[in-house]
Amino acid sequence: MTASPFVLSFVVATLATLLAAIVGVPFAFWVARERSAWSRVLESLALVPLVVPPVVTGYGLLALFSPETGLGRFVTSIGVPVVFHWTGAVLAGAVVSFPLLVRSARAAFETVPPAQREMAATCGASPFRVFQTIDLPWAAAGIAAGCALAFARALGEFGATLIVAGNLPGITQTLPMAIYDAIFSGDYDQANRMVWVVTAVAVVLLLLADRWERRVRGLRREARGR
Amino acid sequence: MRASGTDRRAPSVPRRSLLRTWGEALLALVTVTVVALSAQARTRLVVAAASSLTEVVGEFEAHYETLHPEVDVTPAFAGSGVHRVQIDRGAPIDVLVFASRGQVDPLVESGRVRRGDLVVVAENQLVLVCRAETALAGLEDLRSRPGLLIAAGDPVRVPAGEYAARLFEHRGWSPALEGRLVPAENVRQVLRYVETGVVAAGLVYRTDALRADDVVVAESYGPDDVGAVEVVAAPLLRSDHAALAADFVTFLLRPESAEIWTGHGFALPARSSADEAHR
Repeated sequence: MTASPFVLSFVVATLATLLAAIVGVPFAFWVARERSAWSRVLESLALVPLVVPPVVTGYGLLALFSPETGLGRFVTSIGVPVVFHWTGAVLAGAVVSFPLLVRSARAAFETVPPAQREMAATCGASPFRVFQTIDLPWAAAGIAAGCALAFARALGEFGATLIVAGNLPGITQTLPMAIYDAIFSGDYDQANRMVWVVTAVAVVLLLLADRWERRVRGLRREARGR
Repeated sequence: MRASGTDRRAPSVPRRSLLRTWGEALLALVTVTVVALSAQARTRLVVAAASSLTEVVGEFEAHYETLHPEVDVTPAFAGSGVHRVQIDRGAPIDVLVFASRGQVDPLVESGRVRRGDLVVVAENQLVLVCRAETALAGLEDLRSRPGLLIAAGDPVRVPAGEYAARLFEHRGWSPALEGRLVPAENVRQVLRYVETGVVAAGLVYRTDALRADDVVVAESYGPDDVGAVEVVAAPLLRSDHAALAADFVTFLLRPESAEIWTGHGFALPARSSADEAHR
């Protein structure tokens, strides 16, 4: 079975955002609370995909999940081969959008007033319950903004995906790769159509992210004024 | 007081119902696609092909699948440089179809391809293209008009760039030294540069020049200038479908495939290399 670049791109970006959020939200929370040298170093490491060329990220993932490594054989045996597979596109998207999500979520977690957390803890709430009832609602806008940015970034991901998942029409060919192919085979009408879709979706997501980020800034001002 | 304060900011994300509707729709799409992508009944034969071969390989895919309905030929299009890295890292590629021998040599050395398996499946030609209004007579004409730029593939990783570098060497001219060479990622990009007027001329394959509407061929180069411009194919040694991979390569040399090659502007390989394949 094959999937059109449109469908594939949206599915891949959704799963990539989900994966980035599952790992990124707890990570951002830990970084916001911890503030040790260790956490700083780890955070910087997690932000590396933001600054290195995507090709490097792609090469790293390819080397890591190569079917000739132990890890590669393991993921293949559990049905998630990564290399030349749609799961590779999800992983590549998650890795490159992870930094955006973590930055937003961490900033949001830092606005949570310590007094509220302490109060909840004093009343006997478990750390998980404090996270669930105090931190998460406070940081919701920031996390949502991070998710919107992450989705937009994953939707536009090209370099890393090309190397680890390949440009296999119907299997791993996402919108950016279909656009690349269309441009260079001279099919400009088709390319333009796809460019419009990607641009429109990106603008909507960035507007949403901006709206939610404003809210975080508002919260921070309020927290400072307290 | 505090309660109202929290209320004001708590529902910071869109209304729950809207979020849920979108979420459910997305979840359904994700599930359907993942199930669809996981259902794979036919044997998948991954063919790594140079970007300049997109159309012709697409046609071979369709033909081979009519002959062998149980096989799903899946082309992977990228520059040869990207394919080389993927093959070196053991990506599940079964067959390669590259635009030059030079790109295959490192793979022979690293034991991914047996030299004897490598066959020339078609021949191409390097040509100089420009827009009709530029009215170039050839490379010498371009050279004598300072300020005009020329685009060619990056010789390190683009086969067409390798041939272009050979041409410059043979003609004793280095446009790079004069700051007049614009390197490109692939032949199609060179063509785009010429079409849009970013450069005055470009070195591309005849097959690409034929597909472009807005450019004319100013000069063609033979084996004396650049050596043979060969399209080569080989099954990968560590393919999981070795017999099928070998069969696909043989298929590219069959008499009925000749029409497809020539239909896209390729020339058929000299007889000797074809015989080599049937050995």
